Amino acid sequence: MKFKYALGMLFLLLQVGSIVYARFVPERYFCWAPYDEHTNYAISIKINGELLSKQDIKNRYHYQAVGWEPRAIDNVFDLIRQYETTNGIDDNVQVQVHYSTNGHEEKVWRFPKK
Amino acid sequence: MEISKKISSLTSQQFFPLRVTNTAMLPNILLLCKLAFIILCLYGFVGSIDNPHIPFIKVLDQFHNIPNVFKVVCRVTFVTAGVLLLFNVRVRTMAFLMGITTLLVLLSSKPIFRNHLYILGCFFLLAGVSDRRHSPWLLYVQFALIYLGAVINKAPQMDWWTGQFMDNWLRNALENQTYITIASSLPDMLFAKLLSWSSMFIEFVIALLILNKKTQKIAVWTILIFHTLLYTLTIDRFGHFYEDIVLGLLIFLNWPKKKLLVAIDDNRFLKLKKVLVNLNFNKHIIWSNDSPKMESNWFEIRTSEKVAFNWSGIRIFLMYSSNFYIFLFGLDFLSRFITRFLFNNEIMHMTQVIMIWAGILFFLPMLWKKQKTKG
Repeated sequence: MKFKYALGMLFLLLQVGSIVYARFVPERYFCWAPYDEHTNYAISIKINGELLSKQDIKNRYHYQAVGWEPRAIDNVFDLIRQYETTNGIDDNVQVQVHYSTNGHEEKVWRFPKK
Repeated sequence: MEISKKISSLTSQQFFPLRVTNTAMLPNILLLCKLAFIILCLYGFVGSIDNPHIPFIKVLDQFHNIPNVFKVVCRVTFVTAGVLLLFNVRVRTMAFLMGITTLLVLLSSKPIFRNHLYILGCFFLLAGVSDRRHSPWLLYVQFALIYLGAVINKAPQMDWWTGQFMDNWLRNALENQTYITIASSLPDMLFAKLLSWSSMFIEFVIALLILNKKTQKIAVWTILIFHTLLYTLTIDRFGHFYEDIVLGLLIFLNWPKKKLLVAIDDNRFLKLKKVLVNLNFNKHIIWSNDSPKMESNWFEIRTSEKVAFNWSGIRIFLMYSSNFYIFLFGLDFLSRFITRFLFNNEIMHMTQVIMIWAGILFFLPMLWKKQKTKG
């Protein structure tokens, strides 16, 4: 079999792998899951007790602070967690995400977990 | 005459961008890549390529130490590969490079991840490893995976079975009046359940239909009608996902291996014929000097397998004309731009929906009508 076909098949197999992998984790990346859930959310951040504006939050995560998330809300938690444990590790932040998925009752996700 | 000759000489060159034949790729796959590149440019993908930020692959964080290198390299690679592909230079290599760059950009930044970018990255990469001698089966599998993945992700969620997702999305998030009106006249959540269950069922069926060569034609129509219904109901193209999917359907087009012989009534359409002859950049159509044999026919097209007349013939002619797809693409973009500029978003979408359904209705007879086989 030619190398190029092997490469294409490997790429497709990786996608199959990511679809299977997504069954075991809450995040939904690279697994063809658009609009599987719809979450209304609002991120709020305190750094040393001071609240950040929506624009500051957007600048921090490159993601909107308030709105509808058409993919898994865990994608949002994931990127916040990753940023705050790498680039923002020294900032002493407290993050709260108020969210309601598919119209269910509102919940709150926090970083760091108390 | 000199200018006309110069234009004719220019359009017959291999590097002429509107030409899609005689390259290392199947013409329909090359057309898909060219239009996909233009979509990404028009939607500002190039401008959105940035330095890695919250990457999937942690090692990409190292680029923070050498600011802008990642951004500039990715932008230059993507644009250069795209432009060279437009000019038919090393098309498979360029498509592969565009695919790798698009996927790398997605891997470099979790916040930028969107399925409408991912799908084009996949198309580019797999087009890059395809060739013109074989059917693009890797792309067929890719298409099936998209729908299979969609079902696998939806089916385990209870909100998709109770209709809760659909109801919240259409009622609360989109405030969709069509949905609200229909749902209010039916028992509680019935319409939401109907939409949810049918979506999952259709996606599953599409995945199966794609994998069988004999049922791919039905799959194409199902995909087209399913996504257009979704667009009609939600008035949302989900980024450029709708365009991506419709463009992706080009992979199922069996580009004719032999020339097409076309005859048109010279008495009535001589000027039109002259224009079409000049636009025959791919040289896969031979224009007959004679009018159709039977007087009742004003258009006739002969392929290696069949012969068709008048409107049926026009449908086949358009289906195998790359200019037609480029025209549709341009019409879609320009009409959106103009109606939004002159009126508002609602009128823009309404115009689009009417135009798309008109196009679908025009081509729908191809689904069941068999042209006369050449005997």
